[in-house]
Amino acid sequence: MKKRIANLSSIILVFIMLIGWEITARIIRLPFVLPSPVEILIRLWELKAELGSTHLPATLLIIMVGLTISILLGVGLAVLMNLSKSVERALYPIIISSQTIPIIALAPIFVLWFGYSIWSKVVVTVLITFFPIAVNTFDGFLSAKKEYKELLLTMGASKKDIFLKVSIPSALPYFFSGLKVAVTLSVIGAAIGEWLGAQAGLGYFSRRMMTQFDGAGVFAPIVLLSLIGILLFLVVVGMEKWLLNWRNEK
Amino acid sequence: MNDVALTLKNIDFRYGQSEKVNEALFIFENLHLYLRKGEFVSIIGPSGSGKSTIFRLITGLEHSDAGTILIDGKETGNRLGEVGYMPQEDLLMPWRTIIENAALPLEIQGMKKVQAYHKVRPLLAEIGLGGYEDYFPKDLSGGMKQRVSFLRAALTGSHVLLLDEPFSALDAITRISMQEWLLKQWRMLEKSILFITHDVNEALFLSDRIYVLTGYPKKPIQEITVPLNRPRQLLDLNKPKMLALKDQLIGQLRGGSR
Repeated sequence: MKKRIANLSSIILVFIMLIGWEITARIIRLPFVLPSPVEILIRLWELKAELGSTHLPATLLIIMVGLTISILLGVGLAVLMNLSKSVERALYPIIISSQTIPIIALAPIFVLWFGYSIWSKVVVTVLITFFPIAVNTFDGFLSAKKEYKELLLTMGASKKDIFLKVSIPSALPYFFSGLKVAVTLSVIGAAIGEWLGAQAGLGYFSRRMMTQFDGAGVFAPIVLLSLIGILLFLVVVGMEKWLLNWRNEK
Repeated sequence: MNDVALTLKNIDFRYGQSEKVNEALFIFENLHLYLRKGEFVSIIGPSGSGKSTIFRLITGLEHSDAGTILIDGKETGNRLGEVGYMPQEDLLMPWRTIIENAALPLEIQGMKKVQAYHKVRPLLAEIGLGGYEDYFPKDLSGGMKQRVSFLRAALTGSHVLLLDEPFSALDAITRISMQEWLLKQWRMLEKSILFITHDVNEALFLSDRIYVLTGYPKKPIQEITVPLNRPRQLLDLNKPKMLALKDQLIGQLRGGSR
């Protein structure tokens, strides 16, 4: 009940902001600078065929490929760092410093390397999203209680037993925290990648509309991007609830 | 010596790998103790007297600097997996259901899950937890969790069980009923139990013999035989000789703590 009220208040707040935006836009009346929410929705409807048939699938493909690689890379790095202290000492600083690189500045170079193919965009997405997964999952491995490991040892458990029965279940909640951050960032990564060099995709389309002073056309794909982000987030939350059912209230 | 389940002979142990042999670092020097088959023995001592370290040595989590540890008269490799160990906290894994927690030692021994659950299910019912198989530990009371933890230790297959202050976190009433429950299980399962506690009453009520650790290694470990027949009632502890023994033990423990 309480949760429903919290949701409701957030919906009301968004609604008030949209009305404020609508009113401001109507007063200013410069649709190429600030289109109103209604204008954006109308434009979205007009563009639905073009966006739905080429640009949305292109962006979704980048996000899915990027996220898959990020999960494999992030979890892989976390497992490696968990296996050996010296691997951790070697990798951790590199992983941290990878995040200090201004990726937007580097993106044009990826275009030079990979051309206008999907891979220049995937690389940007991976660079942004593997980090929260790797760091969170590694923290999760560290969170595994020593007492559980010792208890399993007294039962004659092997290293594999301990990894499967203690380390992985301990790390899973942390992995999901990382994944929640990663999926929302993946949308940003894909959009940035497309902005800087693409022939299709929601980010690319948004930029093209800007050159045509079509304000509503800039915003329409952004609405879609944000919806993708919300949807992915909800999917991860659902998976989390399902896999970590031991945390749910009865 | 065929009836001895567990023997510790001439055990030296000190923490740290320091080259200099510093007297103060010694936890144990020339420690002896034994447990007969089917016997219930308590180790009692003030906190910091190294009670739990004895268990870490027996289970194989730590290794002694000298001496031998025999299980059923045999010296086996590293002893990991040779005895059942029930830790102080229940240490049930929150992500495993009750039946999955209890079946853990069977899984580690390589038994198939279906088979393991098949074996554990009636045992859970026997300890009064029938119907709770698919609950998670957070939905159980402290006493119930300790019963699952005991079952898990018993399922390691060894007849030697080490129980490390298993009831110290329970409230007084629950603790008494758990003590009675434990005695019943001990008789039924025919296990040999080494039990750590800092509660004198608990030690007297449960044990055949008590080892008293006070200021070890400066003072030698003491051995007391509890002069009570079985089955016992809680009221037996009010007999004059028991009260005298209790006062004597409490005096020793207070004198020994620094």
